[in-house]
Amino acid sequence: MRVSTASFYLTSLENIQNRQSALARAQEQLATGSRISSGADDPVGAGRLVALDQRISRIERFEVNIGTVDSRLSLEESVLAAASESLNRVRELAIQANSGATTSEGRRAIADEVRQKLEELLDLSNARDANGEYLFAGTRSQTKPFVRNGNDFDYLGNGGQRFASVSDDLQLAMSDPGDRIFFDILEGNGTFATLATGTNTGSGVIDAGSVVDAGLWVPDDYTVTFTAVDQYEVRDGGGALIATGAYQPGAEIAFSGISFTIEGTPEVGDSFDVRASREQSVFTTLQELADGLELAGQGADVGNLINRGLANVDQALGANIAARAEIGSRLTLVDVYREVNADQKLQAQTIKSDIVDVDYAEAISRLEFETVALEAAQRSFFTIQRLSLFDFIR
Amino acid sequence: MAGSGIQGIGLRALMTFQRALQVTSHNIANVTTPGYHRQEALLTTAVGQNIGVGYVGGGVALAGIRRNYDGVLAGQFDLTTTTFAQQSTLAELTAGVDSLVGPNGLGLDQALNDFFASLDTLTTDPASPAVRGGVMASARGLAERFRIVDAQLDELRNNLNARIQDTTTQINTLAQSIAQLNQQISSVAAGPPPNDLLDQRAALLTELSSLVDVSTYEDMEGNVNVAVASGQSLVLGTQAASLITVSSDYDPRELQIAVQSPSGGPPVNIGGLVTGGALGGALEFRRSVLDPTQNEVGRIAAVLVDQFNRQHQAGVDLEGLAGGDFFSQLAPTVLPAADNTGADVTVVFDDTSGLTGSDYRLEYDGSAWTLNEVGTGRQIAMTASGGDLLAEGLRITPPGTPVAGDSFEIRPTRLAARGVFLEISDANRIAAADPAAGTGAVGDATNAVALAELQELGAVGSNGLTLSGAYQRLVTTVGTESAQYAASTEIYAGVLSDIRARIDAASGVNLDEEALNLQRYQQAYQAAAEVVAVADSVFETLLSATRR
Repeated sequence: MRVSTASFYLTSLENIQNRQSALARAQEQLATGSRISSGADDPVGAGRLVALDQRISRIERFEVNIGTVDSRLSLEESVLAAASESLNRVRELAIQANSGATTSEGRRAIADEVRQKLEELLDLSNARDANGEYLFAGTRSQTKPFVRNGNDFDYLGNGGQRFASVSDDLQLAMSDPGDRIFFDILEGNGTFATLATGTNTGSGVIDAGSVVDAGLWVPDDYTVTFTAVDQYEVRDGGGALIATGAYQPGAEIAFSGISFTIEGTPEVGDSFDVRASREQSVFTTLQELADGLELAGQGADVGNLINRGLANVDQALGANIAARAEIGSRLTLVDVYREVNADQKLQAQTIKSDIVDVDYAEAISRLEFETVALEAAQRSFFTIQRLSLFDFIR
Repeated sequence: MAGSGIQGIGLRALMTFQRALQVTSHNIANVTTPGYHRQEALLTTAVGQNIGVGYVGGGVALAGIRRNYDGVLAGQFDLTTTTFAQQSTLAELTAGVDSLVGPNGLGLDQALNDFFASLDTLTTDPASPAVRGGVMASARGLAERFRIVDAQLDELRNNLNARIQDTTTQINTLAQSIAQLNQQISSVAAGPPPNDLLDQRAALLTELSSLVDVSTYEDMEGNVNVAVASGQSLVLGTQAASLITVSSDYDPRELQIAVQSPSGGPPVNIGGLVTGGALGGALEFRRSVLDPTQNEVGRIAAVLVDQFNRQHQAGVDLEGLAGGDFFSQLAPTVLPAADNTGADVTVVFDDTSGLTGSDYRLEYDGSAWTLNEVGTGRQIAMTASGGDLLAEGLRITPPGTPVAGDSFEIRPTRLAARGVFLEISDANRIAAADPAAGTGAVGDATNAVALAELQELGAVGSNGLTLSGAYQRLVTTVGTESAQYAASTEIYAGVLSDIRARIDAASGVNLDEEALNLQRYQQAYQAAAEVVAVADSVFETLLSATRR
């Protein structure tokens, strides 16, 4: 077959150009470390890169969120732990105040310390995070949640919680509203509370009581009145007679599924309230205790005050522990999902690397091969084009 | 000098070999000329003389100069050139789009990721001015990225229009030249073929084939008539028509091709009929890559803006006010036909999840409106809704008194990406909270969570793709097309190379061969000169023998 001179040059040129572009490609891959410089190099792979990049970005956001949730919940935990300490100290003080060895001066000193603890607790409940947001104000996070209102206390936050995504299917609460922890605490034993009427003249002291059979309890405001020194009757909120009985100091008095004991010697006409638990803030509880200790005489008044105070403080401690347990379980999840996210991110990054990363060994050997091929094409062209009949026609 | 006898033979041989040397030199000189077909001097014996006892030969004569041209191979080459040029134009232009949306491109998907990441920081710290500022910054970044991608695609469109203009100009120049050559060639049709003019014309035809798909027909006068596309005459005898660019009926920036006949008359629009060559490749690129890509990017923008605004409106901002639009609202593009006489229709987005990325034609025939998909021509059913028409995610409001024959081109998302702007400018207006959280609930981030979750919402198209899922599909589609066109170009380059080799085998100049021919004819010339010398000496001998 004839080969024209022009076509020889053209073919040689094409060969050299093809080899050059293959060489350039190998070089680019080595320099960038990436197999894919345009969608055409691997269309499906390029598309998957979009999805993988998004996945990795999403997981990284989860990681950031986990860090934020972790630090915030840890802060809540440490504040609540300090609150628990304050409450336990109040408990100690209350027991101390109830002992016979304490004088009324001693009780006044105790009342002072209780007031101190109240201030501490108020401060703790109004704690703020690093951004200046109140930890326990619900979602009204720039409003100080717990404030005094005359002799009373108000909660200015709300019941909202803020949630952060820590995984595809899990959002964790990173805040806890203060009303559940400090404000809406059931008094007494959680079902009912016992109070001595302020006008009692006898020495009867009523304890906090307990629930025997919850199914029989009918929530209401009951009154236990002493019709005689050894006789009592129980009437409900409407005045109906529920129970009567003979009084023995320290003996159990029971009705409607609950029971409690009264010690001491009540006078005729003395009465005690046994009412369904209402909600009372821990601050009010401490204030009541402090006020009562300053005013109290001795004996029964102190006893009743301390019984009620201790019961309420225990309820507050219960709310504190419940909140911390909740927070603790969330912190456990934080640790779990930190691991899960790390695994998932590694997985996505591995898949991405498989798609996009150059196999250096293969690319380097390809570079060598293409270099040799280009050289061969160039040399062979040079050698052949020198051959011309005209060289011999002289 | 005629004449029989030794001298005559010698002289005629001298002239013949001189011509042959000339042909050989012509070949050598044109070894690099593209489109040159090797010429051969055809030698034949001259008529002999009957001297009674036999015929004495009359020497050599030049019968003709043959041009080694294979019409069949040439036709194959031109046809393949047309397809090759079309594919390589498509490959080049599609690679341009790939470089915008692909892995090393403008990073629209990265901007989306960054935006949703910033929304996520809002979920854990909704009241912080720094965090809100961060959200505004990345939102602006995203809006800008959409606009940049659109601007780059628009730039490709401008370049495409320039390319179309240039190509038609080149086609016209070639057509003129071919017509002129037709004139020159047909005027000497009676004589021997004008080889070099034929070569020139064949080269022009090949060049023309690379620009547009043509069919050629040689008539009895030696003219080559050229028709483009589906049969519109471009060169008829010695007359050349010209191609001009015209605006489409709906969009002044969309160029279409029309043929302007030299004898006047209105130009004939051949828009969709040009399929081959660089011009066909450019038009195909616009139809199947550029427009769909710009539509798809716009669709992603439209769904994002719509869904985000809806969710944003459901929340409240730092001051407890209901969130309004976060992004400025987008609207479909409506292009009335240039010859409409009635009022325009208005089209808004009704349900962005119903958008398909296609463009539509809406026509009124006097009694009813019909909607057809551009490209496929498929008719789309519309449902009536309170005086409006709903279809494919759009709400179309016809004018009160429509005019029969009026038509509109609706491009729902073509220009959407360039309209992505922030509607709010104050970070405090970001509606991160849920209204149910109550007053003063600046720490509530319920709506921010919902906004961040939009990234995973499958709201694009009937397949329910996420925003990045739709982008992923775009990247793969463009990448696949780019790879296919590149591969196809290589294949056709190979075929072209093959045909060229076969053409060259017959028609190419081989310098070694011509060197041999030079030797051959030179020797023959020298020998013929000897013959003349011998004839001369024979004559001298005769003269001296008869001298007194």
